[in-house]
Amino acid sequence: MTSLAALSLIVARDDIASGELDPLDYVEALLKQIDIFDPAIRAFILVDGERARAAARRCRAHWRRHDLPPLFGIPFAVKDNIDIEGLPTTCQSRAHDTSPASKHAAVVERLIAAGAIPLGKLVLHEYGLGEPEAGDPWPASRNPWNLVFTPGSSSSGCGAALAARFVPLTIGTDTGGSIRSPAMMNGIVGLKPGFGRLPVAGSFPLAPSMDIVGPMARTAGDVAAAFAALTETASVTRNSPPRIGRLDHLWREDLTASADIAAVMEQAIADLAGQGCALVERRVSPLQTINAAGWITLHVEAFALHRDKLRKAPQLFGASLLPSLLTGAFLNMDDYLSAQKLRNEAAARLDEALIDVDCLMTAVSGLPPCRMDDAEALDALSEASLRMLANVTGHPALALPAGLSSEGLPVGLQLIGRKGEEQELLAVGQWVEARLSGWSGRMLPPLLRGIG
Amino acid sequence: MAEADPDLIMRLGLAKLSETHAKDLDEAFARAMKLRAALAGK
Repeated sequence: MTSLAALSLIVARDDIASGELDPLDYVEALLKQIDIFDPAIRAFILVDGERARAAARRCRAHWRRHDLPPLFGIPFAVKDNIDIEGLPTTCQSRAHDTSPASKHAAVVERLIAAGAIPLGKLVLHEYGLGEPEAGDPWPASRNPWNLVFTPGSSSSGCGAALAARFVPLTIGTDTGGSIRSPAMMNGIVGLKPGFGRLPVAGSFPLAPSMDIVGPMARTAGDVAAAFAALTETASVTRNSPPRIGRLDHLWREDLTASADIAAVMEQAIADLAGQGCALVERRVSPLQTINAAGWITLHVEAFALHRDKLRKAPQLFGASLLPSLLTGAFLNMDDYLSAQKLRNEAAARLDEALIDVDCLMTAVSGLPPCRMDDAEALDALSEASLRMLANVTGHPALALPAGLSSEGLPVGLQLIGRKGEEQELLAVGQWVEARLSGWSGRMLPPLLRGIG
Repeated sequence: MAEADPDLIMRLGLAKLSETHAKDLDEAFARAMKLRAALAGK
């Protein structure tokens, strides 16, 4: 691995700003890292090296000035349901129009305005909802921690590219957990901002009442820096221990987490308590009804989006996506309205649970990553998701790595914050991240160790 | 032919799929009914 590729976003940004790191050298180091490892990991659908080199050369003209924008010279890549001008957006589907995008997605526009450099498009699951299949236009992304294990869904390439040190920042989308799943499974950090906090224009929708775009990086501090640049807000620093509400019932009672997950969560709770963090039990709506409300909303809205093509050319959709999209056809207005009523109730209960704490904490998943070729285990992994809650209610949620499973794959915890307080949530995330004994940002996927 | 309600499939404009993707329609119908029950707490 090249040493420059391992730099965190904040370190690279500061080194570029101080004149220690040449933006073009940095881009070249990342392109070399991609050349070496992506044939095995397959995180990218498209690497736009020439555009990135040209942008880095332009950065050089302004290098070493004192008024640089906040992400000056920082390369990033996006999930391939987000537009980059001049490049096709594939959504990993044969059903999608892949004409080059006429303009950048709003979130890409903001990153470029902040000085960042687009490097390419990343693998996803078909339309953010299918499962990887042999007939997909591009091969499925692999987990850098173990190439036969799933990298999570559906922003799979976003998580894998960060774990593989291909880029310091990726942008994913999260309608039912699609940022936090690959964040956990690749040992990186993913923020699902609150609903409406970042513009979704130029990202292909899945279920518009829950769709969000959000930043993913290797540390909570890096994600905070990216979110600050995206929203033109200031990062928040926390020095005192937070007060955290434990949503243990979600992984202890509503579903029974595996021994791996339970051990990592219990260790995290012990670590935080030992550092002066107040941890109190809180309860929210039952997992079964939260998940049903979320999936009903998602299926109804996704069917409405794809209805015409489903009627005319169903053969264009992948075998796992087709029945999922068709599910919305058999749900009626009563189902949808009941789901919306439950969403409002769940949001109110979550607000109430957050009244006297800084954030809520639960697991990201009740199960650790499994093998990609084990269909039964993949189904179980999907069923064990604890991510839909924040999509249903629209609250911001942060996935942080917290330890390794017995098979050596990352597992993590999830922090849920108050609406409109992403930076406060990220500040708690940085405080927590620094105090977990089961995880260190220095931990590398075995594939990357010892190669220099 | 899909086993899910043929009248409903017709009304939804999915008759063509009933011939060519019957298994997918039946799977989708079963999934929808499961979600409806889960939402009702059943």
